[in-house]
Amino acid sequence: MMRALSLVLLLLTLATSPLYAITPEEQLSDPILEERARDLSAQLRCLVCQNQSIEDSDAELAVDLRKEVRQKLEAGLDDAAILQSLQDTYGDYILLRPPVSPETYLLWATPAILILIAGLLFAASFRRRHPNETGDGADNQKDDAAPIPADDGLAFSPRIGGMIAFGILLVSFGLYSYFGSPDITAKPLDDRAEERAAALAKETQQASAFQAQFIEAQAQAAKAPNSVEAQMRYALAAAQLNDYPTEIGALRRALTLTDGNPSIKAMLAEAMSRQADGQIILPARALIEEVLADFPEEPRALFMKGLAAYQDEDFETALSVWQDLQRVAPPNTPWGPLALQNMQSAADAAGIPMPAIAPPLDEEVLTEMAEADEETQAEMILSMVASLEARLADNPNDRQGWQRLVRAMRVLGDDAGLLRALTGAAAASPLDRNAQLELLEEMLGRGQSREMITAAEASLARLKALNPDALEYLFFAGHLARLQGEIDEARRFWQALSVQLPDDTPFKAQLDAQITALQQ
Amino acid sequence: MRNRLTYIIPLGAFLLFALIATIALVGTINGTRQTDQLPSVLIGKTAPSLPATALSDELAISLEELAGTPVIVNVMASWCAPCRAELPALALLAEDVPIIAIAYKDKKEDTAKFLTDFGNPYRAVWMDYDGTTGIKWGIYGVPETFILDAQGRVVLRHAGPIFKETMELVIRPALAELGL
Repeated sequence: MMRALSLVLLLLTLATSPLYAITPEEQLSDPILEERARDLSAQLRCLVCQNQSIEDSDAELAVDLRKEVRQKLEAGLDDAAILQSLQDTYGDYILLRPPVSPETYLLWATPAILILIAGLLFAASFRRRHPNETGDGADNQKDDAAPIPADDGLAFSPRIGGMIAFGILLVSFGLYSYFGSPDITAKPLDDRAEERAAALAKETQQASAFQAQFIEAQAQAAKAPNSVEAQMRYALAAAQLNDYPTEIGALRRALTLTDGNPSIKAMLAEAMSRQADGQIILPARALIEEVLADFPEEPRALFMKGLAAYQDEDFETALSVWQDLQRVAPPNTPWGPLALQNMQSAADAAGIPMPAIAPPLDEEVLTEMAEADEETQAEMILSMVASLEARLADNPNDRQGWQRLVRAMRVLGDDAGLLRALTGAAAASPLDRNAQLELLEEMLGRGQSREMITAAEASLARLKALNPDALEYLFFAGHLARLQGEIDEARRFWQALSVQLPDDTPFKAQLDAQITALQQ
Repeated sequence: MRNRLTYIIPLGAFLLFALIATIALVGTINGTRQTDQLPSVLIGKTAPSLPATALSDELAISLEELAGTPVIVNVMASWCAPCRAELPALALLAEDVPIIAIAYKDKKEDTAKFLTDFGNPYRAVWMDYDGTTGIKWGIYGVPETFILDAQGRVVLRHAGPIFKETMELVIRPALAELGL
């Protein structure tokens, strides 16, 4: 029985004989050279795996080095010259057997030193124990105040050893039957089969919906090659299908059509980076810099600038750029939590504390306010608004601050203050169409001071930069021109607006009436 | 006395080992000791030659033509993702030092596409089709970066991509020693 078992084991060992990495086409036809090649390869370290010889390694560099060795052999070099030539480019490290040199004396001597130390210790303990064994009891007591612990003190008796082994077997069997029984592993998947099928069906459905959208957008873009909107829709549809080359192409056309719209430029940079597996590549970086040079608050470009710094492991810069992004971003953006998460990981990586995003209200002030009477409360509010306005005068780029000021002025009913706040908000967010519109709307029908006209002109210029054909822009531009007495100018704007309006709307009728009134 | 010695020797050996390990660990944490870097024997020697073929005529500047000024030689490949990742760092370096690329085991059309897609910080790009130039330079993976002084001698070899930390701890100090 025992003999048969050992035979099987022996056969198994033989069956796992080593597989050679070397392929037949690498081998030399001359068996003597081939033998030398193998011999040399076995002495050379594969620098990729570092603990295998190039003979055993499948790494590409090992294949190249084997080829190199064989070429040199065929050129007639001797073994020492071949080893030396590789040592010249790769250093001693390429030799699996390090050469004896002053740097490796300690390495080679270590085993001898260890044997020497062990021998000395052994001799010392033998000399100490020897007198005991001769039976000189009195001497023993004197020499060894501390008794030498018995050598076998920690050894288990065979019975305990057997019990432990049996116990381990039992426990493993128990663990296997609890965690490893086949019916349990299959169950979680069975339970969720329906859920999975539903998810899969939804995915397929969505994919085909995306596909349909893409085909339609493609047709539209082909039909109206000069429509920015069609190109943007085409780009979006392509992005849904992860078709980045198409997305990039469409965005490029849209960029040309809009003569370099910064938002589209930032989107193009993002698409290029998505194509590169999320890496903010050099051309994308150039685009981001272009956008930020003109519009330092373009959120997408800011986000990607931070990401680029993060990818360069420049976490401090990433953090400060993303902080800027938080400052200029409108409140409650959908990507807000993601941006915060990014900041957290940048702060962790840089080993600096996460900066506070919005300074929390001082709790003392809050309690004080709750306890104060109505008149004091009103006073406190007024002074808080005044201090907010003063702060904004120092830091006019704080978009959220301006929005808070706008709300506060509305509540207070301070019309002049409201106009100031709206002007500041519109200037702080040049890309926010709504901020410009809010300001212009508020100005309609109010007294027209020189200051206000200037603010309105600035706001209109920003609207124009966003889209010179937008209906709102034409409307307000005409209005401002009329206020300034430039009747021809006003007519031009409003007529451009009128042609864009559908015929049967009441607004068009009103506008046309206004245009007629202008002419008189 | 001897009895005590049998305790002191292992303890001393352990403390010595712990001391060496601590020094190595502190070096690793500070980044001054790099465990993934194999030493290069080329340091102090004249750099090996470049491959014979360049990617294009405009990108065929040789080491000889750049003699008299420090040069960076970057072994890269279009199929290598870390090579793409270090391009921004190389673009920064290219403002100060000309960078020559050795495209390791790459095809011309692939290298050209890589450079148009991801940006080209290189003054010259040479094609090492079969990796023989790589063996001459003693490389064992891509990317690898060599800094050559004005006399064409290798002063530094860095294996792996260049990010901010390697840039500040390894590359910039080496360039500073060359007066850059």
